[in-house]
Amino acid sequence: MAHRIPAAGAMPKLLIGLGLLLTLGFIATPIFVIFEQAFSKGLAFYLASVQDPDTIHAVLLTLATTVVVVPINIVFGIAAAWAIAKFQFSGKKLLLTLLELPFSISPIVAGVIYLLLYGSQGLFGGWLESYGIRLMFSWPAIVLVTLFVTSPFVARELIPLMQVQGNDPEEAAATLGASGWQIFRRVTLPAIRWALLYGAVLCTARAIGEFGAVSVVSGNIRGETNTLPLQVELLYHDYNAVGAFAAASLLTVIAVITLLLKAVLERYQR
Amino acid sequence: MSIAIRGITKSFGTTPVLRGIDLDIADGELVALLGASGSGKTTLLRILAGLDWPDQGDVQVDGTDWLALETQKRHVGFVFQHYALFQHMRVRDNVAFGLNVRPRGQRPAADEIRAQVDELLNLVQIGNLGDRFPSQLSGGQRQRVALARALAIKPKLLLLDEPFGALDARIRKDLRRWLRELHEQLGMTTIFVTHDQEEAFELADRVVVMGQGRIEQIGTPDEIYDAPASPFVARFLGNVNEITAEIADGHISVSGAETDGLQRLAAGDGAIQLFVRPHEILLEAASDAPARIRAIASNGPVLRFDVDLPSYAKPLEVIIPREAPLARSLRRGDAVRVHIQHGRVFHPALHAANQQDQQLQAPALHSSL
Repeated sequence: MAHRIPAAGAMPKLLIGLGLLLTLGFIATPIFVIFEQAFSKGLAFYLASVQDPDTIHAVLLTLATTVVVVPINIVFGIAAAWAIAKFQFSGKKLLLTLLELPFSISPIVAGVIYLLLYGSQGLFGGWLESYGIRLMFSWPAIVLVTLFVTSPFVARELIPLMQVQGNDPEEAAATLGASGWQIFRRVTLPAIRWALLYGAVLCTARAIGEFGAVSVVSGNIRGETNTLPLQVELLYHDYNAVGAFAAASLLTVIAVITLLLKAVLERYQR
Repeated sequence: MSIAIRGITKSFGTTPVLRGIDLDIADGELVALLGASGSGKTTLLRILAGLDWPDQGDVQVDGTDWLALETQKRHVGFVFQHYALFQHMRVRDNVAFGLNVRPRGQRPAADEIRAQVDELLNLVQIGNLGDRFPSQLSGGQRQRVALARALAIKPKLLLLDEPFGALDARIRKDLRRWLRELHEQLGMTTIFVTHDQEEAFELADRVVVMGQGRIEQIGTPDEIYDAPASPFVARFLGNVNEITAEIADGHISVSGAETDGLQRLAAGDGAIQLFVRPHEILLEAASDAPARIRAIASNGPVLRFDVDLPSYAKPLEVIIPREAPLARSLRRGDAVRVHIQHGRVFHPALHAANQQDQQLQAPALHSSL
């Protein structure tokens, strides 16, 4: 750097030290503790905990939910961002606000809303049950609330970018004879690919980690409707702290991988 | 291809952008749409390209209903103001785009596309840049890529939106000359939008002056410069002095200036607005004259004088060639006699009543003196 701000007195050092201390105390230490606890009874116990059938089921359930939710949100996010960024229509502000709603609503509240709507005592629940469909306390319920909670991620990532890019490239493609699908496939999609991946990564992280909304609608049926975050809680309440931390370590590893992916994508985006 | 535009109107929300456009363009013509921002010129261009649709009106191109055709079917070459290149594609793929998106049956073979792209890149003089990305090019080079991409679909109509707007002055001049040559070489009907009258006059066969959603005047550059149809056009074509003059018995007089050079005007007595260009005024050193030189600015080949006439708050702008004997001897504060040699009058009654609605009628009453 050509010019540096001269470090005057002890103040800068104090502030940097404080920042480091907080990072260590509130972020690094807890992560360390997770692994320290998970391995506290040795590697063999850790592996056994991780291989517990209920935990494995929770991992698979969480992954299955993510695999369904993320693609739906990608399609929905592209469609919403495309509409908002490239077209003028009345009700656009309202749509934008609706998109943000899942961010501002507490996940627990979202879960309760779904329960009130689709539970057997709920608004549509009775009607659905008369057809033999029971949504709540099952995997579809988990997918539904996870969809709700993670729906803004892709769209929020794409809208500002698409707004900056404007319509000119698409219009140029149209004058050159490209069809609607060709324009999307060859012009729009390549221009947003990194932001799209970035949004998808954020969406994945949240889908895997979601606790509040899922805990309301899943029914916590062991080995059936328990996702990984719920399983962590369950094990902990069972006084199986080591098992809980072992499951948590899996979540942490997934989170760290997502974080690394995100960092790599951010570099490409520029 | 020949174009007939009839009664086009267009509003964005409640704001009218085009208020009734009638225009004919002949095959092979190079036409400039000249106007300030907000005059509707770009909207008119976008309607021709199929990127906007008018509220009313009709466009016939070679006798076919143009507005019934979708954008993709018009085969119009459109060059955007900011080029709108596909940033993720190499220059070569940008140019080939219009060929690559054709349905399988009509698409040329890959090596033929390659050959056509090479030919186009050579035509726009960037044959060596095919493997670059747009972000690795200068503004002038991007402009050439945009043009090559538009030409790749062999359009019969080429539309350019402010083609030189984002370039610096010297490159602009070169590109302008080059585009004119290219037009003569390819011979397609070409319409471009500009706010720069110098650009319009140098490049176009015919200039369409637009203001506030209407066509103010259509003509060759000479016709428009020599006989502007309205005060709007007169003002738009560069600096002009607007002087309040008196007319009595057909003689025009300006207080504090000589007007013997002006012809008589067959109009009733009263006050009129006289439009005089800076080079239509002569100065003469005369210690007894009422006019004073307020300021002198050297502007390359000409000197620009601001001259105060006693009864006018705004100084007159006068330009004199640098080589003129008088040019160097005059000093700030000198007394000068002002000779107004030419001028234009737009009928005062109409001019006063005008508002834009009646400006188009002004030509009938316009008089060059």
